[in-house]
Amino acid sequence: MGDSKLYTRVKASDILTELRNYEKKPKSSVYRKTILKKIIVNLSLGDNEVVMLFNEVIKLLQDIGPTDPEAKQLCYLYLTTYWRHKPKETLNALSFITEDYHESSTDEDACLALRTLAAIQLPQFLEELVPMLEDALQKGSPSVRKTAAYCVASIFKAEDPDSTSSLMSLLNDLLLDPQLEVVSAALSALGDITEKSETLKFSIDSEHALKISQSLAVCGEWSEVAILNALMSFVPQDHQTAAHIIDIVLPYLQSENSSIVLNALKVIVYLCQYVSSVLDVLPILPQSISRAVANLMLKPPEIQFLAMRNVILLLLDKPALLDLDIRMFFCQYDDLLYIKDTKLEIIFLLADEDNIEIVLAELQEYALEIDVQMVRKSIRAIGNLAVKIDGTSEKCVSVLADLLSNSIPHVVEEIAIIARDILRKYPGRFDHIIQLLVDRIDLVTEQDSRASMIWILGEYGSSISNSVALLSHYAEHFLDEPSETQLSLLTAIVKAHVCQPYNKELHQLVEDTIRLVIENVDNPDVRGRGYFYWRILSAQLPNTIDIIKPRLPMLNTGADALPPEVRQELDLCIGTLASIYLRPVTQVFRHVKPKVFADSPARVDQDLKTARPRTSKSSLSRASPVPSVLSASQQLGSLSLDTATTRSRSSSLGLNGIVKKLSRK
Amino acid sequence: MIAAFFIFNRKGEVLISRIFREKVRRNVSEVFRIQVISKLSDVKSPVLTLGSTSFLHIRHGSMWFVVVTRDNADASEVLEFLYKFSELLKELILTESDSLSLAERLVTDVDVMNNFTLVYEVLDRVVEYGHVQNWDLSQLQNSLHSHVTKGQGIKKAGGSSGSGGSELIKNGTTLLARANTLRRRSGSGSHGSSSSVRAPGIKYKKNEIDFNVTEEVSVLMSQSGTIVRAFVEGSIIANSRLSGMPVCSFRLVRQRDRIVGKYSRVNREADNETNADLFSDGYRDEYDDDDDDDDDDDDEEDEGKGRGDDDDDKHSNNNDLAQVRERLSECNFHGCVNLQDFDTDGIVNFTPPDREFELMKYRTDITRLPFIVYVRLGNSGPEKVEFLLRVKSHYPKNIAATNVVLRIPTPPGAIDANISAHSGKAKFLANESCVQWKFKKLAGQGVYELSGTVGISASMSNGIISWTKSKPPISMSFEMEGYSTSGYRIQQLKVEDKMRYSTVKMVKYSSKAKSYEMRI
Repeated sequence: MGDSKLYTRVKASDILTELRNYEKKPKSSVYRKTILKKIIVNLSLGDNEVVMLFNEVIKLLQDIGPTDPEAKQLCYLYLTTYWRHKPKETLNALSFITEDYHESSTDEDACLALRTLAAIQLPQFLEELVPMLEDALQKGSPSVRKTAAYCVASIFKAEDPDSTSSLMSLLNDLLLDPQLEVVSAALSALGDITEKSETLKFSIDSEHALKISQSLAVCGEWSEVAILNALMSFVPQDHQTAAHIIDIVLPYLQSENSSIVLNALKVIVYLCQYVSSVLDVLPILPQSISRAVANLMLKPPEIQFLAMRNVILLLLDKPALLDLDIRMFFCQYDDLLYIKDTKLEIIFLLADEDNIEIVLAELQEYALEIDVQMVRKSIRAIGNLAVKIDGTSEKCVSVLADLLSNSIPHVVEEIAIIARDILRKYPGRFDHIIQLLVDRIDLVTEQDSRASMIWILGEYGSSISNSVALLSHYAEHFLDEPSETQLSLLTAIVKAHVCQPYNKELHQLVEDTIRLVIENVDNPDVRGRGYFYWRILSAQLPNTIDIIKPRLPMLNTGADALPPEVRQELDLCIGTLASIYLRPVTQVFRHVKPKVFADSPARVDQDLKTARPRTSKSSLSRASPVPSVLSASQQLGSLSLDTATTRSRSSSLGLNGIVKKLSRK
Repeated sequence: MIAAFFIFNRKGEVLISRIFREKVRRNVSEVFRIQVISKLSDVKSPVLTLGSTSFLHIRHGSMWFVVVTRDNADASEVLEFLYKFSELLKELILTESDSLSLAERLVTDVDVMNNFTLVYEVLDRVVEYGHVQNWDLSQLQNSLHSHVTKGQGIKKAGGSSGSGGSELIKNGTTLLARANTLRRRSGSGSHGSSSSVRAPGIKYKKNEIDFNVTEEVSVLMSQSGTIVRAFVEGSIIANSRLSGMPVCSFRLVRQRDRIVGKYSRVNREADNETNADLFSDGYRDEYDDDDDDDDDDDDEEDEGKGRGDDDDDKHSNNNDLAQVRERLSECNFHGCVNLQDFDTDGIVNFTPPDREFELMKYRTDITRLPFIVYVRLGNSGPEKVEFLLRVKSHYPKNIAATNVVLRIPTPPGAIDANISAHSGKAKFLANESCVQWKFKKLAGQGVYELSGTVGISASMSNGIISWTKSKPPISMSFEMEGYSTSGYRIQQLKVEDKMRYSTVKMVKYSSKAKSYEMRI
């Protein structure tokens, strides 16, 4: 006998007829309540036709409402949903609701009435409401005071602050209320109001900050969240206070509620900026934070995801505060895709010379999996690690060579792509991998990997025995290739020729290709380059080889790191949506005020980038992953690990500029 | 700052919609349906942002619980709220059931539709102007006006990984054999909402409190006998029937390990080994004394204190303190626990809510394994594989493990087996490619042997070669009552209340295997 059978769309006119029928019958209230429920169901389903029944609902409210709280609640719900469409009719309900408030027997009823009034923001309602709120804020019971605080926040309008100015001072008084729930409600309400308003600012002094942080121990979990959030508005004026509050908040990193953990982390990271040599004052800090992260990794996947994004943020900005065991982030076979992606990123950030052995073992396992996406990402990670950390390059390359020997197609393709960067970064050291790739060149079919192979053929043509044959093979279908491949093929052929000027075959190939390009190709970039090469070769300049095949500039992996101001702002937003996207707040949410670090005599600029001596080398500024290009829908795409590959000069340098490689789907 | 909350069913139809803040319109649910639900296979992230509107969601069975926000909301608050709210619905709507606990069941969409007035009312109480409020289950249940239509709910599909021995791994390189990964818990796992408000004025004739310490053991041992990973995930569930507003406290102390020493397994398939070589190891079954420190691998041991843990806590207090803090590094507590006290003194101090709830969860590495298995495999002919197995149980004699099942993988193509077991029942399961050895009861400090030969069909005899390279591991499952594998015990339990009554206190320990594997 549940209400689930009511879950069908009903026409408003049908409901009307039903209501008329039942009005006269005995026990009509029971039937009418069922009809009321049908109305609400249609409201939930989004069937807005029921707005026509507004007057009926008001009648129901006045008839059944006083005796049946369930029905009354449903009527209120209806009113708060549709008041905008029927402002005049809504006024009829005003007296009922105010009466309800004054005569309510329980706190919950009073709160419900207040909330309903506050949600209906017609001028007549507000007129009634303001004195009621003044009364409630001062004399109501604790839960009524709490609701009243939120009502003030909901009726506050930035354009018209004076209408509620009397309430503001009362709300401020609530901050010193004996009941903690009320205090935390007032804190949240004031926070909301200051967000909406341009002129008002929220701040706490140190005495109050100490008081509320000590009260964390005795209030309920969600009040703790509110208080921790409010502490972000406190600006410490000296080191001791800041350190003291960090001390008080520290145990909350072990709470079972992940929101408390992340908000406590936010407060601690924030206050660290105000304590000089914080790691000496509080040496237990990295350990506690890492423990908290370990606990968060045991939670459901969405919370893990949020925690990991914040770990990435901290790793980019203040790695000294973390002391994580990389094994925590190794993937399980049944992890969701976005979890695996984020874990791979963290593995990439945390890998260094000390743990590279286990990392490579793990990544090698992933590369042998059946899920192609995962395989490609892990190979990319191995390659990027080789580029990022000098000392590990030997081992990484040997792992890659190992993987190559299995001759699995997508593995070979991915390695082809990443090999290009490795060869560029370490010229002359890993040439053995070239031969391995060339042996398997027929497995390489995708566009990106072919472009990479072509580059290798061009650059190292002189050391590869059958490079000419391979280049001619590629050139056979020159006109069928996409323009990007045509460009790289053209360059490669010319390069190879310039290095081996006496090779007749190559000479012929160059001539044929350039002629083909100039005469038959439509794309202006390709044609332009054809002309350019033709002229250079005809001119027989002495330094032709330097122009066509110069020494390549060093790969700069740090180029895409987040700028420091952005990182600072994001530090203030740990656990919020901005921390997931790792972008400045105003870029993602246009109407929101950006967060700023307030200045104070205690403000300290300390270097938390150098990780503590657990890793023997001081870490360099780590290359940050580049989130996918933001489209109109800022959907979180799979993040790209291939920062290193974005700037290969030899690939298509058309008039379009450098092409940024997005992560592969 | 939750601007709106929706519940969708599997098809994307709205079951519940509630707007808390202005600036969000009801048809934003359409957007979610099109962008996320219809693209089910491609869920890239729990968060989707379009313009300034963000959708955060979780799945509850076939339903979608979605929160919409319009600013840089506190994602941690939202996600935690979604999980806690679904738990709350479970507690309010689902009936008591003996066969399946709350943690294993889910609310169905029919349940939600049956109780939609209840859901709206609860939403009203629990979220005020977009901010989450504290709630207490019993207070809520007493003060709700709406009628509740109870339902059975459905069983959670998949669920947390069962006891380790149930599946053989076909491919030796799959991820179940992953070294050193920390095991993840699936599902929210929390035993009810973590409200810390206890109503005053509760009275019971007989005051009692009992604790259930359950541990799940995960072990992976490599071929050469080294431990790749060995840890225990424990959870303490407390059930209290106490009057007034009592304050309870206890300490978690690790008992001195009684058995210590390296163990090395000799696990080779060479034929020229004698049994004596095979079974000699450094493993000693004696009390740990100070003079054994040199061989002591486990440097977390107490260094030679007096006998009896319970009386001697004054001496060992300081040591225990440091060790408790170090070792219990991964634990988290229910909201009613005073975290500051744990941090400073290592005491778990709490005022329990008046029902059964999960007090804390912890995870710790172990060095003392309850079972060690020794294997010797040999090829005694072209179509036969011989094996010899010895199981040693390293827990006290008075404890017995029940429902012990060992699964020993056999090569593919095995057709029959000739097995003799000293104790327990062993049989060859051809369809699962393993030999299953079962014990009803396995006492501690014992040694049990199994030997046998497996015949392989001729056509598959070359399969043996690939099998020997990557054999699946031996897996075990077991349960033990009255034994805590990690060695942690609850001590110094005190219940204090103004009314000064005496309390009946009980603590029960139990362990079971989660994923207990040994590579061969």
